[in-house]
Amino acid sequence: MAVKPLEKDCPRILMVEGYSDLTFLAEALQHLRKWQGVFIKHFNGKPDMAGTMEIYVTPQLLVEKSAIGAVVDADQNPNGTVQRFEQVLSATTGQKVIHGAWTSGKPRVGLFVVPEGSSRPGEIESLVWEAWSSDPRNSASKACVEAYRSCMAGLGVAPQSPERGLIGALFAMRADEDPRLGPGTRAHAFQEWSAPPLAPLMRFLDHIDR
Amino acid sequence: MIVEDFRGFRRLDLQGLKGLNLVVGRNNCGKTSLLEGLALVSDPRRAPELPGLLRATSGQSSPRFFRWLIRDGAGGRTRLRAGLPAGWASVFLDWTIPQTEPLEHALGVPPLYVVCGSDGLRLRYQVTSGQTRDLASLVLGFGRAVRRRDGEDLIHRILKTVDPRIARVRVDLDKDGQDIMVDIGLTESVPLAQVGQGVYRLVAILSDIVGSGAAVCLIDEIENGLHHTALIDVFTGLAEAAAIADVQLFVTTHSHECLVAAHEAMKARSEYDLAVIRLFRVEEGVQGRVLERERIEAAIAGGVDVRS
Repeated sequence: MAVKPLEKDCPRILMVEGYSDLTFLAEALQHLRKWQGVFIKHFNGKPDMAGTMEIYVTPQLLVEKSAIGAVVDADQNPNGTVQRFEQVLSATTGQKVIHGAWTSGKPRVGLFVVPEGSSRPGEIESLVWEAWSSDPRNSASKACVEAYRSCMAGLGVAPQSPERGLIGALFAMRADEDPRLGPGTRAHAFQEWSAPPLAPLMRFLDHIDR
Repeated sequence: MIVEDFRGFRRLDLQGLKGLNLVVGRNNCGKTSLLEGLALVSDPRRAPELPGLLRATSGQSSPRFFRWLIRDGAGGRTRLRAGLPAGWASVFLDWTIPQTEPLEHALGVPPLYVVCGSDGLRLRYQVTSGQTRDLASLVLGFGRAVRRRDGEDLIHRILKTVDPRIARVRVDLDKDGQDIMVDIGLTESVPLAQVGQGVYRLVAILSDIVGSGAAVCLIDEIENGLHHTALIDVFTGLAEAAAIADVQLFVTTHSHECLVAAHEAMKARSEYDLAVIRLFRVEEGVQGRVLERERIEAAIAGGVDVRS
């Protein structure tokens, strides 16, 4: 089992909302062979992640690190999320930060709002569900999960986030210990890293050390 | 508080300070220097005391100490300003003799001139450092503190939270002189210094706050000797003591538990009177930011270590 890196030892920082995102993105970086030297900082699922980031990104951190990025969920307000995080990261780092890209300054600063910037609501689970369900080999399983969702919806039970519910249902069958996105992915419940819906996020992560 | 070209600070502008101000940051980022700056601007007449206030110099004033008060490469002048209810107090340090402003002191060799701004405002300050305290001043401060009924009650209550055995603390006189004796249920009271470092530190801190008559108390590394489980009670006590005596506190710490405890203690009070001063050392010098309640809560909830 890999030893969790220490922040002080890592030249690159990736900020995420919670533990599940941390473990998922750690797996993604490992798949890209970009895990070394990256410290993933999670904020305990804090609702105001942008405000917390302002405290975390200190002048000292900006001097010491070569890259500082953030991956955040658009949730129900993609436009507002993109604007808020672009504004906070730009103000905190003194560089013009925009969704989907890394700056060329020192340090390089990047932002990715999942699933697709300001164009639609959702979260990492939205991309993962799309990636997994777009694979023809998963079509039978997909039908089962969707049938389960429909059945529950018929009983008046629906998750706040549709894709998070679908991933939970899927991973509950594929990862015994913990059906959340990150722990489930760590248990190999998801392996479709090359699926097209994930490509923009994977490209962003791949550029963390460019 | 504005600090310019003092020690490692190029320019530090601290807005939004509160009754209790925790100063945090890594080693050598200027926490103790900030306390020295506060001492200097509070009362420039006491500038000669600076070397022994917070640093391990055994009280010896070395000319070399003053050499480094003005930031290296700053061109020879330091300015400190503090906003007080009555206006701005300001102090300058200068390598050249001032022409227009009143001179307070010439320190060291070659002389460093301490110049007081024309405002002439002074604040009485008290320092509680991590160094061993001389007994006479401790007894004096404790005596003054417990002369106030509310001061005595407070000190006993807070000490009991740290060591429930403590029944009474009093000044005692015998042929060897005065001492502070603590009743912990033994056949006789024991000298304060033998009860434990935490209790000793707390008596010193609370006595300074309540009994010194100071408007500002500067406390270095408050966590020394205190178990983390006692910290919320300690900060509750500090806040009460500061309110009783109308004292503003500046407290350095390396402890995350202290930050959380101070926050919890303040949350329980009718007025949240806590600010955190974060100091960072970067290439251009030391920088600082003041965090108020919203940011302190966000940092604690988000698992952000504000000491780094």
